Amino acid sequence: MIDLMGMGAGLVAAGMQGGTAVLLAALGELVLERSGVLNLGIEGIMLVGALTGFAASHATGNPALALGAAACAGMLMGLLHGVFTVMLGASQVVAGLALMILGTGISGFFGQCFIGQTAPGIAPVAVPLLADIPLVGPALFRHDPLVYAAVLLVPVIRYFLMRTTWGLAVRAVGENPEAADVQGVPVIRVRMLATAFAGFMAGLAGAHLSLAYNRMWIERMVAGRGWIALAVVIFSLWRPGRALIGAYLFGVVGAASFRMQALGSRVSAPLLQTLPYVTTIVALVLIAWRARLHRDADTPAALTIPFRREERS
Amino acid sequence: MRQSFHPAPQLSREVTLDPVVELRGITKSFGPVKANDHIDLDLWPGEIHALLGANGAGKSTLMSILAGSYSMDAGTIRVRGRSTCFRSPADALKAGIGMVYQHSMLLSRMTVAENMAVGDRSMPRIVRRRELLARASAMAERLGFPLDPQRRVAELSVAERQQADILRNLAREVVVLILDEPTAVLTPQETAGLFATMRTLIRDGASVVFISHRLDEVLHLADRITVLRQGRVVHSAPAVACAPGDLVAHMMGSPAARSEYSSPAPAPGRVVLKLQHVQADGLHGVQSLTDVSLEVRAGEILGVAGVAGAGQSALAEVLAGLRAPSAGSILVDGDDMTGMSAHRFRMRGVRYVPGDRRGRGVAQDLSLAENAALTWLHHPRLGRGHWLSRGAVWRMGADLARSEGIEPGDPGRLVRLLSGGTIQKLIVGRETLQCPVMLIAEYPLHGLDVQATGFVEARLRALASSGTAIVLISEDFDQLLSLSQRIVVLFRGRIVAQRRPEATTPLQLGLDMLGPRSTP
Repeated sequence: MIDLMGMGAGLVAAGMQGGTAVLLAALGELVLERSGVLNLGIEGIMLVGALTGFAASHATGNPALALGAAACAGMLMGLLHGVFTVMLGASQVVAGLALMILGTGISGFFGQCFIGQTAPGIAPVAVPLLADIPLVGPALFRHDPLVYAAVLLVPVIRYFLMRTTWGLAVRAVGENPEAADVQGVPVIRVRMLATAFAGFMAGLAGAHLSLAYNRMWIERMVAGRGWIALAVVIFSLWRPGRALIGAYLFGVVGAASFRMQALGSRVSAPLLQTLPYVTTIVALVLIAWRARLHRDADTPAALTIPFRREERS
Repeated sequence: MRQSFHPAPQLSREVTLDPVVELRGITKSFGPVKANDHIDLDLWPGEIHALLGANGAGKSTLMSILAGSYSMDAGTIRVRGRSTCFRSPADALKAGIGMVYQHSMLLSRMTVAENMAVGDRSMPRIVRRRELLARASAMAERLGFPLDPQRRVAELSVAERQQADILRNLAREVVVLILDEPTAVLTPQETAGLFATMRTLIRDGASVVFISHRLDEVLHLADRITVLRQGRVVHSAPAVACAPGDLVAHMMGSPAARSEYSSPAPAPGRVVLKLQHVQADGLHGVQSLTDVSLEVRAGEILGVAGVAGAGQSALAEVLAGLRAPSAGSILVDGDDMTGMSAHRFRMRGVRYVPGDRRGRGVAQDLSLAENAALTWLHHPRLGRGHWLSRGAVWRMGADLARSEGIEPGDPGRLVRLLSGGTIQKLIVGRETLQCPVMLIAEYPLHGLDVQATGFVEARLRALASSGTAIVLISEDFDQLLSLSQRIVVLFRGRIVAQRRPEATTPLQLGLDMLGPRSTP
């Protein structure tokens, strides 16, 4: 019995570890989409973040510095997306896909020399006292700082969006940029800041994979988590709390399927590996369907629509 | 956080002889059209300043420039004597100038209170809902708005939205509030409420700019009246010194020498169109057409006049089969077409040149040739059944470009890239490819240059002489008087007058348009 509960605690711990990258990226993308911009390049930004973080840690031996470098790299890529879509009014879908391909390409190219290398990673930090609670401690309070940060960011972002004038501006710009403009909101600036933030978060998410979750560089190691983050945002109906559920579900099912493989399940391994993706999508669809029934969605009405003042036909 | 609402308290005490806003030489063009041509205008504290003018006179453009949402090509804006340059609405708001646009510029999914806080840099970063609500309620109460600031804008009625829009401007302590045709969507009671609000505002020292077409309202309310025509100021004077007849004359242009309207002798053909007691429902339970009966004969051009929103678009849609009347009947060539689809109207030979050219007249992202073929898709010339021949479509575009003198005549060119006048040639050419039984032309000359105007006018005359019954909806009196054989005037969805061009004047038409009460 104890053993089963111990396994459960392990699963929760592994789930939180595995879901953190998705959660970080999803939170950034959520804020961005609330401002009316869709960035499909999250996967590519995460890859660049993962490689930058790993390379910086390899070079300096300082994982904290490496995290900062990864976030900055992500932010630059986010801003690149912003320059094209927000400032120049290019198609967000096309620019995002291009960014994804760009990220995959440059991380694969510059990552070649880091394959098989090691770098200092981010160590877990046990929360004093709480970490010693049996079962709960190992499950929830013995993680690396990014895991805690991601969880804490959920209420922070919710508060930011709903209770600050900045959040009000973000939502205004995402709902009706013309009206926001007339009311004095600097639409372009708000959207550019949001693209920078989403890039920053995706960069961090990538670094979490290469410095904490896997602690090595593997080509294409993000493995679709960027796309899952996008799905999480959409099916969360743009609410941070639901995004957390989606991301952790992805992590837990991923950990479970890994364990099933290790226990010698007869189901084929590739099929098991699809499990977290499939489960997450199905669960999120159900959540979204239920929420829509209750009209409980915050869909940004101006999503993917570029803004230009003085458009007149 | 501001405790209470005082728009410009310093102005209410100070006896000032300087204008709040001075506009000098404001010029703005949209493509070839000069919307504003060296406009000078002063706004004084504590006045209601009415801007009058026909559609397209440049009122909204001028005020959008003052409110920072349009840039100007030339000119200067001085606010309280200081020269300023607005790069955005945010700049204008900072200088104390706010605008309530014709189409509500509110965030419909947010509450009234949130709308009042959006974009306000002086707000504390952390939104304290209770304070926000308290401030909103206090301001609403001061102006006598029975508006719950916790409600989402989406749930509000049109009049309530307008109130919310006024509140969000006042929350920014504007000293100049621009209202762009605020009464167009209001009932008479709501209009009275709005006027009371405007008077409260000027009592506090603010200035109100009131854009309108409705002469009676303007005379009733304004302290000063400025009339714009074709982008220029043609008249500006205190309201007490303005006579209604003069104002109409200024709006419509020089009333001299109108005897030239010797319209071609009506060759009374058969009755093509017969409307009997037609009603059409509009938004918000207001009827957009009430008991409209009219006849148009073959070869006749019937002009339809009226201020914007008097029911012209509903009439055009009913005649084109786009909107089924809620009562009454439509007969085309004696056949009852009531309730039939727009397609059936087309097959019957009814053709429509819509007022919204880019939005309804063409598919902007298709080519010239594709647009030319768009309303002839079942024509045997273009292919068999549902199979279109690309070559035939291309040739149709090329032929149309040649016959209508469309430049550049490249059939593959995207319509989005064409000018408004060229698009109109394309639409008119397309709809009149075969001589239609009836043509509905909605503002067909609006915003066109001289050359395109001449082209469309000539086409309308030619069609009439070959037997087409034409309904010409316009606000331009010159056009109506020179083109039509008969003119009906719409007012709030009813036909209130019928005139013959040779027996009337623009002045008379202008007065008719303002409704039965204003007729002297």
